[in-house]
Amino acid sequence: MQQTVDAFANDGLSVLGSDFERLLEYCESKNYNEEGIPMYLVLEDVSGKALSADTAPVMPRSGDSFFNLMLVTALDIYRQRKQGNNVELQSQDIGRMLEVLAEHYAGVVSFRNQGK
Amino acid sequence: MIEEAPPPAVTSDWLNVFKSLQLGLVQGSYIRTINFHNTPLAKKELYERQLAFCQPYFSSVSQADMDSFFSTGTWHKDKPGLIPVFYEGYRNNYDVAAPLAEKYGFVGWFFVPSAFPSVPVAEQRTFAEAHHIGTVAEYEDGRIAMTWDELRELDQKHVIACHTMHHERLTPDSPDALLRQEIIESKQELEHYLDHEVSSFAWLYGSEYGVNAKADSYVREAGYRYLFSNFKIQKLK
Repeated sequence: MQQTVDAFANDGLSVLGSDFERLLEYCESKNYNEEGIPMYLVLEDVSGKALSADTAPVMPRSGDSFFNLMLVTALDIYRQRKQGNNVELQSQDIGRMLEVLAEHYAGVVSFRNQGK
Repeated sequence: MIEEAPPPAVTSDWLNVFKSLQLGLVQGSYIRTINFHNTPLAKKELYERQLAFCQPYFSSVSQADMDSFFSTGTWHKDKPGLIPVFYEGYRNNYDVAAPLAEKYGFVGWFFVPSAFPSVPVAEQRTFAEAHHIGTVAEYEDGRIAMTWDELRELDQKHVIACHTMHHERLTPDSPDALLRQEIIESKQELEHYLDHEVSSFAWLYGSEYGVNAKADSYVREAGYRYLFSNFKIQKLK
């Protein structure tokens, strides 16, 4: 599975289609004490030290820009769907959103073989 | 997630966090992790399958790689970075997980409550249950935690980080003495046994810098370089 545009060319945003509920159910069934949980962690410089007075702190950047944009889009659609069910969102829901996306795009092969 | 915790819903804070995460993701300012706690032998095949799956697509992330990523703003390897993160300092992390991480070329980041390795074996299960550390029935001799010798051995190829002293939950109302012990003295304790600086810290339940101003002041005073939380890795200095 390539972490590139190809991932979206092949999958579209299927994580938010038929795969979504199944993936969410799978993530919610995990034993956090004994299983590895894929996650995206955003990097943030809060040191307050800029390279110069005229520049902001250097922010690490990597990855395919199109993939990154689609990742954010998927995250926002997920959020809208969650809020659309009139569910009061908590900060732990953010973690679940990131986990679902990380599981889909960098998860264990076994899930992708389940039910397929 | 670092650990499952039920913080109260705070809409405006959640929205601010969400927006900051979106900005980071669209800029490519993120790294992938796999968060582990216990890694019992009975599930070794699952962990191996997971890391083997990741090997072709991801690179390891050492302390130096993290420093470079933040200081230069660019990832210098062909493949994106992946960090297997191991919380609590379990013996089975040493026995099962670390060899797998090494087999598939990954650098593990081990977040250890600094008091745990020193707890007498006969008291480790009681300590764990009293300090939000999950346990599994595994070792006949009852030793749950890594020893300091095992941590020093892991330290040669992996990263050892601080996860408070007693795995205490710290709140805005926590007394200063407790904050100092869990944030600053824990770092000193790890550095005493490892004989070098410990650069990274993570709270119980994974709060980020900026949520608890009083605790944040101790994190800065301690001199940590990075704070790992549920959603972020924040560079502090």
